[in-house]
Amino acid sequence: MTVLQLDNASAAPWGSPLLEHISLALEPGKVLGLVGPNGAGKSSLLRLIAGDIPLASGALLLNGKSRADWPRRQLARRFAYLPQMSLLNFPYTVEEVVGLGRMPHDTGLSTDESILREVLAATDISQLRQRLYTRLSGGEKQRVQLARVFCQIWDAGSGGLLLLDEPSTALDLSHQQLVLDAVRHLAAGGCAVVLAIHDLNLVAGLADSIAILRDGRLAALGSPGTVFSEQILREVFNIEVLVQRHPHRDQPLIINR
Amino acid sequence: MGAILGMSGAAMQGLFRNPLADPSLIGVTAGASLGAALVIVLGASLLDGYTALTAVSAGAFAGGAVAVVFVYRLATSATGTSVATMLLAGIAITALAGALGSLLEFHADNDMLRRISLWKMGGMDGANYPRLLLATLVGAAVLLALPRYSGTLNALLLGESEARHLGIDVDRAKIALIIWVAVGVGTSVALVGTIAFVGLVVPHIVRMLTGPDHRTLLPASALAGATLLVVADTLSRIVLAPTELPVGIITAIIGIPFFISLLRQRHHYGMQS
Repeated sequence: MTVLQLDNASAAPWGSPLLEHISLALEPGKVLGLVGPNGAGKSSLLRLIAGDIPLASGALLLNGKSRADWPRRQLARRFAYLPQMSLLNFPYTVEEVVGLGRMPHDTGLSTDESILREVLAATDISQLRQRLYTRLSGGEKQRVQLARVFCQIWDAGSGGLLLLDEPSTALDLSHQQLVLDAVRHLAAGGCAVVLAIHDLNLVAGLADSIAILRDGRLAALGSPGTVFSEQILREVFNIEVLVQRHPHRDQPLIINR
Repeated sequence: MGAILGMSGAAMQGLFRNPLADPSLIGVTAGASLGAALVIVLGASLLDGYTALTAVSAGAFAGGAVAVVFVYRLATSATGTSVATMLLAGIAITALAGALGSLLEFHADNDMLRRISLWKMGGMDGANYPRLLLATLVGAAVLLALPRYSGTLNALLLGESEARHLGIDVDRAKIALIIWVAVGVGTSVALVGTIAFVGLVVPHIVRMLTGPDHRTLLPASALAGATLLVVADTLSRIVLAPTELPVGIITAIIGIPFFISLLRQRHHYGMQS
């Protein structure tokens, strides 16, 4: 069973095509990294999957069903999406923001509380629990929003799908690592993850497969080892890089020349 | 009435994700005022006493309803309802209704002018049992309906797209909220005229005390709005006794300095806007 399947999907919400002929599939527990230059369509692809922009042609299946065939709450229990920007401007406490992630669920207070605690610990914001969201730093806000979507999907298991749009841009190195660990934990539980990210080495160590987008089309799709080649990166990003083996792990290491 | 205004204000601020939103911002108050003025100028000579009051109320209600439908139509396109467009449309409607109102006043005679301006100040001196019954019924309906959307409003503060991903039917919730607020505010303007700042200031005070969670914010705003209006009404009756001041003047005199101090101190309670 594939969690996410796109067949020849295109989208053109404002007239000119944003995405064209995208075909990919994602199994439970797998992590897909979306990379590409600014404006290549990474966020658009996530928004297409999330249903924020409509499909112009082709097919988009979530657990074998089209989005319209899912009841709203059932959908919200399995699929969570973290956009790049947050508009939240009201002085909620951190705990209240993260707790909103449990809204679609009827799992009861004690389950919700224990999930909340796990998620707060996984994103290292337990000590901020009673603080006001509006008074946090950019990196702290990003971790709170991450915690909210983790909270929504923490117990989804196999059949869950998490969409993250540049989740680590404001995070320091140790918190980046923490977020990656949380994503790995979710994936180990069966949840599939799609994330758009700019840090190639970060995604190479996390993703099972990489999709490189350019001008709204798939330029390459495959494992990090095959996709991250000096030639492809030169063609897509117009940069000269060295691709080496990571000295400790089985992953490519991309270095500026 | 105070309860309706307080709760409607809290719901609007959540819906528009803007702590400065007020039912008057989407044109309900202005539309209702224009409706009332129309009836006073065009119809009052035909009616008198009790019937005239009822007709004025009906005019205000119709004006408020027309304004909401118009603003809502303007802001809704195939892609959904844009809150920004709706705010702008509300401002436009308010300006248009104000201009038409001035035009009416220009052509009105002295007696009509006095009635229009008294109406605009707001007052509860016209209370009688049929009006009280209407206020109670509408108040009860609105006060029971709005709290059911408190979870939705909480999620909406994250953003409309985020709320949708939390499994909320955002478009339906928006329509329902706007209709309930229009009913509440339209009735309130129809019965007691425009009473300034209850819908704006009350949710602010309450949010400072209880936080922005709508599950407590909505009922607390209703209670605080009712209290404020009762206090203001009592003041309006005793300040210049035996003359009764229009209560709208009292709420504005209390409300505006408070609002200005709020603007100066908003960073103290974590609001950034």
